[in-house]
Amino acid sequence: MAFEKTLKELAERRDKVLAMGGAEKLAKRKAEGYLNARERIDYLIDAGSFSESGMFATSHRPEVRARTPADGKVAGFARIEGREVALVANDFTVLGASSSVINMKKIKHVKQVANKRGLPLVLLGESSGARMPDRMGAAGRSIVAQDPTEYQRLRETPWVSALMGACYGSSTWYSAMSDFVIMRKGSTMAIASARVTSMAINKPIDPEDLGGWRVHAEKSGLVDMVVDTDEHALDAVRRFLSYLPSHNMAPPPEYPVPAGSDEGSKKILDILPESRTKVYDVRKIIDAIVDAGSQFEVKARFGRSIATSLARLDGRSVGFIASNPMYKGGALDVDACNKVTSFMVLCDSFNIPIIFLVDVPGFLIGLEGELRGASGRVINWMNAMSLVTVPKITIIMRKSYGQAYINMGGGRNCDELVCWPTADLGFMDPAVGANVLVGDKADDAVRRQEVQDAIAQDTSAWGLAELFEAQAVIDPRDTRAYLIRALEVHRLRMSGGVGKHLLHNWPTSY
Amino acid sequence: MAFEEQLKELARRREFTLEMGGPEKLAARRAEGVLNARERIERLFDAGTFLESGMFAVSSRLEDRDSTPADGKVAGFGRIEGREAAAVSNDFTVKGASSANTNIKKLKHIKQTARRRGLPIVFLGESTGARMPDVMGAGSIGSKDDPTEYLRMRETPWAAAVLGHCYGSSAWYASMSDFTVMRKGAVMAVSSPRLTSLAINEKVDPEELGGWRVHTGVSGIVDLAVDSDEAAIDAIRRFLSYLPSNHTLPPPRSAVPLGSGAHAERILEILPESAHKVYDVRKIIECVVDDGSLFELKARFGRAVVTALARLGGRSVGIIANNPVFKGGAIDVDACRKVVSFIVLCDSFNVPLVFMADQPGFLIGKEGEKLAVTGKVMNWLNAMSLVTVPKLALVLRKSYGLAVSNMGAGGNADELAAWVTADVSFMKPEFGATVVFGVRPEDGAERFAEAVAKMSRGTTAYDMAGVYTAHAVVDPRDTRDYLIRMLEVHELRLSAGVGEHLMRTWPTTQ
Repeated sequence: MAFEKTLKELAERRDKVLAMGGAEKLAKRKAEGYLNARERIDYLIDAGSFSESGMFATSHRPEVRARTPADGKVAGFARIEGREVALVANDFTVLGASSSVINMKKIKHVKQVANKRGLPLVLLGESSGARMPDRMGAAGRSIVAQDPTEYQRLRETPWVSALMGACYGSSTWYSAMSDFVIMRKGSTMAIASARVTSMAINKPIDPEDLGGWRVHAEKSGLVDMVVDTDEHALDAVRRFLSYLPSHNMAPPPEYPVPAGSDEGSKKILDILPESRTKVYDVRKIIDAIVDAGSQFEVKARFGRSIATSLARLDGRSVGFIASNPMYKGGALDVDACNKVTSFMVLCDSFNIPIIFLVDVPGFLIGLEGELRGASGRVINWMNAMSLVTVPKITIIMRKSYGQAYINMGGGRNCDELVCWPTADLGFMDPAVGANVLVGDKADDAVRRQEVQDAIAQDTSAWGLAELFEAQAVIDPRDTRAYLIRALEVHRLRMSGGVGKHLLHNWPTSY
Repeated sequence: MAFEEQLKELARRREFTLEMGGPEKLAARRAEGVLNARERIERLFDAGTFLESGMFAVSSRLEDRDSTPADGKVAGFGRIEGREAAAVSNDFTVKGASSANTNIKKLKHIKQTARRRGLPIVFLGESTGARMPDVMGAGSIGSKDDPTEYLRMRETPWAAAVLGHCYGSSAWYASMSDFTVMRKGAVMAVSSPRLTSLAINEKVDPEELGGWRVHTGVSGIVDLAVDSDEAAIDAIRRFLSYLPSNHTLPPPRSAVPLGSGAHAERILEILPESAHKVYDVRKIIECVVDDGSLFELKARFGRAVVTALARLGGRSVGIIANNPVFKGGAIDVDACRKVVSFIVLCDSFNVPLVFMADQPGFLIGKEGEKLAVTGKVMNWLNAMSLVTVPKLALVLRKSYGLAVSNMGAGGNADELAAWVTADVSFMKPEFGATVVFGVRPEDGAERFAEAVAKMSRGTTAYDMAGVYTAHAVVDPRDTRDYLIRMLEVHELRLSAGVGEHLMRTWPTTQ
């Protein structure tokens, strides 16, 4: 065969790269139940669609060239459900997938192509941070970290990160910049490893305490979803992307409507308690409204008094922002505000209409909130709200009090506002209102009751509808049909389903 | 006299308005040493320049007409050091300056005019929140109809003073403003201590809920705390002196005070020769900038970094400087937030940025991870990449880790100059010895010192200058001249001193 030797070299070199950090390390991972970088890619993408970029890239330092196949970061392009994506998978078996001169060039290239050609970017994270000694000294710095747009996020295309293992350095930074972050239990993410941290603070530190899933899903809010295995994490990447367009210049893809999707509506009256003092889980209401099985909750463990979920209505992506009385009675705290702001930025940046389901007693007031700048968070939400250009529809299910009424779309902050007949509008809970007006002394009891009744009487759905502040009052069971119809009316038909993305450069962490 | 009756009527109505909530309430305030709404306006504006808007506006409720002069919010236009500005001053003696239909219209008009005509707005805050019973019930709450009420596009500077009880609108406007000053003794919160204690069913101390210590030290919403109304208003005048009237203009230029530039030698006395000794960087800044021009923002928040407005050669600059005197200059989450909000301020109003680095890296540990430190570090870098005003960076002493880039190296600033004392590296050499070479102090002093020396190789100012990542090495005493000269080189001459304001919509609380 012509070129036999040359082609043999290609095959040999390929084999070497595919052997990654060596059989021993790979076997160890397998024994622990973890996929390796290339298995992760295979699992994630449509079979046979991977086009690798930089397969023969290695460290620029001659002494480690032979030990750095793909320089520790496997990169390229592939298809997910038939749509092109860009991806980088960290190969921890190669020098801990540490960041070096060459593999940073790979990330940069893949990112540039993704931004220029409108491809989602998937980052499969597991990395130890900057590679030593590559980065030491002034000379080390002169060839890395010289890209002032390295950490710029303009949300041209969706970015998804999966944290699967020890994540320091680039995996951490890219997850902080991503639109959606999944963490496999047992992984850790932090600004510096537990080892370096314990040196700095001079005492031992448990990696799980420092940056495990509980920290990031429940406290920092940097992680949107927690799963048990690498496979689940990759499934979640695929699922998240299914709600989003490949880039911000296209509307989200449409899917067939699963059979039985209209059946759930009847259940709403069973889920919603007749007594206004009883709670319920709003996610069950969302399930009853949306296309069967299409609800995908984001940040389920953070700011739980409000649920943020992607879902589909009649095959089209929507984002739900729904008060959840199950937690804190639905009162909005600082975490809830931050979560909503970040979810609005996501939906608005990728042309996904937003639906508010309202049952809110107000903001959670008190010392803790003030210490965390509650008033500022309320305003960030409102500022974001006023910049949203995708359709916004508000459904007031039960109570909607005070400033929170405005935050949930009232006062013309949405395109359509409708009430269920169970809606209860007012400035605050009637009992608290009466207390404020009359005072809480016992001898005022009669007067207080009068005032309380007067307040309650004036706060129905009908009051709002008569003034055309509510555009409709609907039977809760008609919610699905109403929303589908209203979203058709409000389609962004003059711009091909694409919004203005005024929040596209907003911060990535709140 | 012709029209005698009508003119008498005008005089009578004027008098009614100027009496505000009546002599008794005004006297009580005076006795407490607190200015009233109109005295505050007088203090704010150049004498005789106040043009009132809505002097005869009153409550929309018939029964309150005679008790609501100016409907509790005095509004209009005046000049500050000769430049036109808009202001709203809450009159607490009129129904606690509560928000109601008419005064909401006044606010809206002032805001619109300021935005359209390019005027700064000053909010003199002292208000109880929504007026009862005006805003109770569906009908009234439905009358809120301004979806841009909380939109902030930073066309013009907003400054707010918290001068008493500030709930509702004064809290919201303080949160949205570019600068917020608080008089000690004032209280700002989402809801009043009374309502809060009703809601959470326990006694609430106003100072603890929303006093100056809370907002300058913990929430970070307040930029400056002062002792009197007069000092608060003076601070607003001073703040505005650094900024243009609107974002289409460069900041005003001031004369350079005599004696500026005479303190260069002192820098060498303030900066300790030992790298382990700390100093207060504000003393260095004072030696560099025009005499008396240093105006620090958020001095009690995120203290490891100083953010200050100042002047160099009569031009406004924003200085971001690590301060080793707090936490050794290690950058924590509060410091990150503070820097981002300062970058947004300066970039939105065409104020060039100067970075002064002397930092050991980000403060690592559990606390920071819970507060999403990695997200805040990325917000900072994302903001850096969106800045379009000139950025000049100086490395004073040490600068380690990723924070090197945050402080302007790695191409993140337009110019990078190193003092002769600069030391730039991946991490503190003592940690690096262990992390990179696996040598610990207990392995013997000599071996450890050798490893530390290896880590310290190639980290000097000349090493950086050698690979041209530093564009200059500067004698600390020449800093002022260097900066003034570089600001001339980097003047935005193609756009008449005006940047692109890419972060003009960014959240107002970081």
